Amino acid sequence: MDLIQGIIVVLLTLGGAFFFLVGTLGLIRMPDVYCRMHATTKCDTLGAGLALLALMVYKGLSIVSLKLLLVIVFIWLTNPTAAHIISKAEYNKDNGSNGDRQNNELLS
Amino acid sequence: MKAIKLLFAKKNIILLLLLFAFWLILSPSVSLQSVIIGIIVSILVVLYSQDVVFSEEEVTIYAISKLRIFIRYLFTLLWEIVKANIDVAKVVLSPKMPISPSFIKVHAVFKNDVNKVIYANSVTLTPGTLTVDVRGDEYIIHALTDAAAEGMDNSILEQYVRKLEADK
Amino acid sequence: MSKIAFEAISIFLALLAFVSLYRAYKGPTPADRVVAINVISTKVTVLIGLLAILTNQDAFVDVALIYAMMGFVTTVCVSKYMEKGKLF
Repeated sequence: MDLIQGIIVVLLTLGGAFFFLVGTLGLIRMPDVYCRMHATTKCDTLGAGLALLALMVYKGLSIVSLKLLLVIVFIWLTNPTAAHIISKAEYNKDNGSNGDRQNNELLS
Repeated sequence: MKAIKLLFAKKNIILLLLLFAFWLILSPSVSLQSVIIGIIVSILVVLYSQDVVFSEEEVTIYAISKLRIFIRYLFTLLWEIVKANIDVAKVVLSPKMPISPSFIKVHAVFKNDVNKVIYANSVTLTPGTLTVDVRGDEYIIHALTDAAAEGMDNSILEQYVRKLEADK
Repeated sequence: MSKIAFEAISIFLALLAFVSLYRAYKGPTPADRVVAINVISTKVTVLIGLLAILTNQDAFVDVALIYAMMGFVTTVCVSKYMEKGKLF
């Protein structure tokens, strides 16, 4: 039983490490901001999920596992949102923000 | 009297229960003292965030019948995420990097804001696409490859979000 | 066996954080830097979780949770500032 648990933990850890590596390589190699964001959002999300899942399997059923699950859920919720906000800021800076928002700022 | 009735609305009760469960998970030991402090703090937070929480019509997940579709949607999303990761890994690790980035506009009408958020987030997590901005019903999406750009209309996740929105 | 794997991935993540720091230093646009910092903060969150298990200090997991929240708020603030030139 311990052996199976150990094998699962090592496999999950290796998967997490691989996806973190892919995310970082994408961050370095991709040609512009949006493409970099493609690599980082997807790979970091799954990499963090797999690494923390390995910790959960190692700890078994306990309150610590529940907290780790909360961390996973939080990362999975916030990572796409953060990417969305960054890309929106960059896009609006390049192409000018949309007209009604500028009007609103002038009015207020 | 109306204000008191408003306080016992479904959204407030659900928020209260969620906050209290979060408190119980974070507190090191469960004793009478910590439970009482948790209840008081949760009620205070609910009172303070009255103008921030979603209204009941906006969140369709609160209904029990929608919860089942939502859980099936979550599993589909997990599978899509794994596919997206393998896709990105292939692109990044291949020496020539076969990408052709482009912006596309997708028109998708959803009635309420929470479903818009769910749709935008799942687009970000699916292969080769990234939501950049939402302007009304227009989604500006950055696609990594041409194939990803073509696969956008009526994808499987959009169908799921439509099902979440449909009437009971 | 599991502990060795956790130690290995901890060192690996620390190295990757330094590699990401290159993009934060070099990045031509501010958005590049924000992306790099966001990536580093995700890595540090996982790293704190790993350290909590390795040192048997269960309270560190709470720190990881709070660190994830702080990283998100930082990203939101900096992007908003980038877009509008002011925070409020």
